[in-house]
Amino acid sequence: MAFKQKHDFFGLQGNGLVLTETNENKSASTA
Amino acid sequence: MSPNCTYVLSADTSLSAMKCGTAIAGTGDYSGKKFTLGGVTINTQAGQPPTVEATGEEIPAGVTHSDCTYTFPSATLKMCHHAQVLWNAFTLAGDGCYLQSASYQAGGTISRATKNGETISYDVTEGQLTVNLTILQTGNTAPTVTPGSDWVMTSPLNCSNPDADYPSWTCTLSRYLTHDAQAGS
Repeated sequence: MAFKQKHDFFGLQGNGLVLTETNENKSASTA
Repeated sequence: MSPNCTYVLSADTSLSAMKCGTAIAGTGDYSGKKFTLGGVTINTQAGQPPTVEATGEEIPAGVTHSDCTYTFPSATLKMCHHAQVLWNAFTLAGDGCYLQSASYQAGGTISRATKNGETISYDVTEGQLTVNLTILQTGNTAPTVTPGSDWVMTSPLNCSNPDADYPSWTCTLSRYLTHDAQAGS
Protein backbone atom coordinates (compact mmCIF):
# COMPACT_ATOMS: atom_id res chain seq x y z
CA MET A 1 0.00 0.00 0.00
CA ALA A 2 1.21 3.51 -0.77
CA PHE A 3 1.71 6.02 2.03
CA LYS A 4 0.90 9.72 1.95
CA GLN A 5 4.05 10.40 3.91
CA LYS A 6 6.93 8.75 2.14
CA HIS A 7 9.44 6.99 4.33
CA ASP A 8 13.01 6.47 3.22
CA PHE A 9 13.34 2.90 4.51
CA PHE A 10 16.89 2.48 3.25
CA GLY A 11 18.33 5.89 4.05
CA LEU A 12 19.39 6.51 0.46
CA GLN A 13 17.86 9.96 0.08
CA GLY A 14 20.51 12.63 -0.28
CA ASN A 15 23.73 11.96 -2.18
CA GLY A 16 21.82 13.14 -5.27
CA LEU A 17 18.81 10.87 -4.75
CA VAL A 18 15.28 12.18 -4.17
CA LEU A 19 12.65 9.79 -2.83
CA THR A 20 9.51 9.79 -5.00
CA GLU A 21 7.60 6.68 -3.98
CA THR A 22 7.43 4.28 -1.07
CA ASN A 23 5.57 1.03 -0.59
CA GLU A 24 5.52 -0.87 2.66
CA ASN A 25 4.45 -4.24 1.18
CA LYS A 26 3.17 -5.63 4.43
CA SER A 27 1.53 -8.54 2.64
CA ALA A 28 4.97 -9.89 1.76
CA SER A 29 6.00 -9.80 5.38
CA THR A 30 8.17 -12.52 6.78
CA ALA A 31 9.55 -10.50 9.66
CA MET B 1 7.47 -6.20 5.84
CA SER B 2 9.32 -5.93 2.52
CA PRO B 3 9.35 -2.25 1.62
CA ASN B 4 10.55 -0.66 -1.58
CA CYS B 5 11.45 2.90 -2.42
CA THR B 6 11.88 4.69 -5.74
CA TYR B 7 14.27 7.60 -6.22
CA VAL B 8 15.10 10.04 -9.01
CA LEU B 9 18.29 12.04 -9.31
CA SER B 10 18.78 15.69 -8.49
CA ALA B 11 22.55 15.36 -8.97
CA ASP B 12 25.10 12.73 -9.89
CA THR B 13 25.19 10.05 -7.21
CA SER B 14 27.88 7.72 -5.91
CA LEU B 15 26.82 4.09 -6.08
CA SER B 16 29.44 2.97 -3.55
CA ALA B 17 27.37 4.80 -0.93
CA MET B 18 24.80 1.99 -1.28
CA LYS B 19 25.49 -1.11 0.76
CA CYS B 20 23.13 -4.07 0.85
CA GLY B 21 22.75 -5.89 4.13
CA THR B 22 23.33 -2.89 6.38
CA ALA B 23 20.91 -2.59 9.29
CA ILE B 24 19.05 0.72 9.03
CA ALA B 25 17.00 2.04 11.95
CA GLY B 26 13.50 3.21 11.10
CA THR B 27 12.31 6.63 12.13
CA GLY B 28 8.96 8.27 12.76
CA ASP B 29 6.14 5.72 12.41
CA TYR B 30 8.79 3.03 11.98
CA SER B 31 10.81 3.93 15.05
CA GLY B 32 11.95 0.81 16.89
CA LYS B 33 12.11 -1.22 13.69
CA LYS B 34 15.07 -2.02 11.50
CA PHE B 35 15.33 -2.64 7.78
CA THR B 36 17.99 -3.77 5.37
CA LEU B 37 18.60 -3.04 1.73
CA GLY B 38 18.47 -6.22 -0.34
CA GLY B 39 19.14 -4.69 -3.71
CA VAL B 40 18.62 -1.87 -6.15
CA THR B 41 17.51 -1.66 -9.75
CA ILE B 42 19.01 1.23 -11.68
CA ASN B 43 17.20 2.08 -14.88
CA THR B 44 18.98 4.21 -17.47
CA GLN B 45 17.49 4.86 -20.89
CA ALA B 46 17.87 7.31 -23.75
CA GLY B 47 15.46 10.19 -23.28
CA GLN B 48 14.34 9.09 -19.80
CA PRO B 49 15.56 10.25 -16.39
CA PRO B 50 17.43 7.54 -14.50
CA THR B 51 15.62 5.93 -11.58
CA VAL B 52 16.77 3.87 -8.62
CA GLU B 53 14.39 1.32 -7.12
CA ALA B 54 15.47 -0.06 -3.76
CA THR B 55 13.98 -3.17 -2.18
CA GLY B 56 14.61 -4.75 1.17
CA GLU B 57 13.14 -6.32 4.24
CA GLU B 58 12.46 -5.73 7.88
CA ILE B 59 15.05 -7.38 10.11
CA PRO B 60 15.07 -8.02 13.87
CA ALA B 61 15.14 -4.76 15.80
CA GLY B 62 17.80 -6.13 18.13
CA VAL B 63 20.31 -6.95 15.41
CA THR B 64 23.73 -5.53 16.23
CA HIS B 65 26.14 -7.01 13.68
CA SER B 66 27.25 -4.77 10.85
CA ASP B 67 29.37 -7.04 8.68
CA CYS B 68 26.72 -8.98 6.75
CA THR B 69 27.04 -6.65 3.80
CA TYR B 70 28.05 -6.19 0.21
CA THR B 71 29.42 -2.79 -0.75
CA PHE B 72 28.77 -1.89 -4.36
CA PRO B 73 31.89 -1.02 -6.36
CA SER B 74 32.63 2.63 -6.96
CA ALA B 75 30.77 4.22 -9.84
CA THR B 76 28.85 7.39 -10.51
CA LEU B 77 25.29 7.35 -11.76
CA LYS B 78 24.87 10.56 -13.71
CA MET B 79 21.67 12.53 -13.72
CA CYS B 80 21.69 12.88 -17.53
CA HIS B 81 18.88 11.19 -19.43
CA HIS B 82 21.04 8.72 -21.30
CA ALA B 83 21.62 5.00 -21.17
CA GLN B 84 24.75 4.71 -19.06
CA VAL B 85 27.70 2.37 -18.65
CA LEU B 86 28.25 1.70 -14.93
CA TRP B 87 30.99 -0.22 -13.15
CA ASN B 88 32.90 -0.54 -16.46
CA ALA B 89 30.53 -3.42 -17.14
CA PHE B 90 31.10 -3.50 -20.89
CA THR B 91 32.26 -1.70 -23.99
CA LEU B 92 30.06 -1.37 -27.06
CA ALA B 93 31.29 -1.27 -30.64
CA GLY B 94 29.70 -1.45 -34.07
CA ASP B 95 28.99 0.93 -36.92
CA GLY B 96 26.05 3.12 -35.91
CA CYS B 97 25.31 1.05 -32.80
CA TYR B 98 23.96 2.98 -29.85
CA LEU B 99 23.11 2.03 -26.29
CA GLN B 100 19.37 2.54 -25.93
CA SER B 101 18.84 1.27 -22.40
CA ALA B 102 20.85 -0.28 -19.61
CA SER B 103 19.05 -1.66 -16.56
CA TYR B 104 21.25 -2.74 -13.67
CA GLN B 105 20.38 -4.94 -10.72
CA ALA B 106 22.74 -4.85 -7.76
CA GLY B 107 22.24 -6.77 -4.55
CA GLY B 108 21.97 -10.17 -2.97
CA THR B 109 19.62 -12.70 -1.46
CA ILE B 110 18.56 -12.21 2.14
CA SER B 111 18.79 -15.46 4.08
CA ARG B 112 17.19 -15.93 7.49
CA ALA B 113 17.20 -18.03 10.62
CA THR B 114 13.66 -18.29 11.97
CA LYS B 115 11.79 -19.59 14.97
CA ASN B 116 8.04 -20.10 14.65
CA GLY B 117 8.14 -17.94 11.56
CA GLU B 118 9.87 -15.08 13.33
CA THR B 119 13.23 -13.95 12.01
CA ILE B 120 16.02 -14.43 14.53
CA SER B 121 19.00 -13.47 12.39
CA TYR B 122 19.80 -12.68 8.78
CA ASP B 123 22.63 -12.37 6.29
CA VAL B 124 22.94 -11.42 2.64
CA THR B 125 24.37 -13.92 0.18
CA GLU B 126 25.03 -14.25 -3.54
CA GLY B 127 25.87 -10.59 -4.04
CA GLN B 128 25.82 -9.86 -7.72
CA LEU B 129 25.65 -7.13 -10.34
CA THR B 130 23.61 -7.76 -13.49
CA VAL B 131 22.87 -5.53 -16.44
CA ASN B 132 20.35 -5.94 -19.25
CA LEU B 133 21.22 -3.98 -22.37
CA THR B 134 19.22 -2.85 -25.38
CA ILE B 135 21.27 -1.66 -28.35
CA LEU B 136 19.98 0.03 -31.49
CA GLN B 137 21.78 -0.75 -34.75
CA THR B 138 21.52 2.04 -37.32
CA GLY B 139 24.60 1.09 -39.39
CA ASN B 140 25.62 -1.88 -41.43
CA THR B 141 27.42 -3.91 -38.81
CA ALA B 142 25.98 -5.76 -35.84
CA PRO B 143 27.04 -4.56 -32.38
CA THR B 144 29.75 -6.22 -30.35
CA VAL B 145 29.70 -6.09 -26.56
CA THR B 146 32.87 -6.86 -24.63
CA PRO B 147 32.44 -7.59 -20.91
CA GLY B 148 34.58 -5.58 -18.52
CA SER B 149 37.00 -7.05 -16.00
CA ASP B 150 35.23 -9.56 -13.68
CA TRP B 151 32.10 -9.39 -15.83
CA VAL B 152 30.76 -12.27 -17.91
CA MET B 153 28.10 -12.33 -20.60
CA THR B 154 25.33 -14.50 -19.23
CA SER B 155 22.91 -14.02 -22.13
CA PRO B 156 24.45 -13.46 -25.57
CA LEU B 157 23.56 -10.75 -28.02
CA ASN B 158 20.21 -11.48 -29.61
CA CYS B 159 18.34 -9.61 -32.31
CA SER B 160 14.57 -9.87 -32.13
CA ASN B 161 13.77 -7.88 -35.28
CA PRO B 162 16.54 -8.43 -37.84
CA ASP B 163 14.41 -7.17 -40.73
CA ALA B 164 13.60 -3.81 -39.12
CA ASP B 165 15.17 -0.61 -40.44
CA TYR B 166 16.98 -0.23 -37.12
CA PRO B 167 17.28 -3.64 -35.47
CA SER B 168 17.36 -3.93 -31.67
CA TRP B 169 19.80 -6.15 -29.84
CA THR B 170 19.70 -7.36 -26.25
CA CYS B 171 22.14 -9.12 -23.95
CA THR B 172 22.84 -9.64 -20.24
CA LEU B 173 26.09 -9.43 -18.30
CA SER B 174 26.80 -10.30 -14.67
CA ARG B 175 29.50 -9.92 -12.06
CA TYR B 176 29.73 -11.52 -8.63
CA LEU B 177 30.52 -9.35 -5.62
CA THR B 178 32.76 -10.18 -2.69
CA HIS B 179 31.12 -10.25 0.74
CA ASP B 180 32.48 -7.51 3.00
CA ALA B 181 33.39 -9.96 5.76
CA GLN B 182 34.58 -13.51 5.26
CA ALA B 183 33.19 -16.18 7.58
CA GLY B 184 35.58 -16.99 10.40
CA SER B 185 37.79 -14.00 9.77
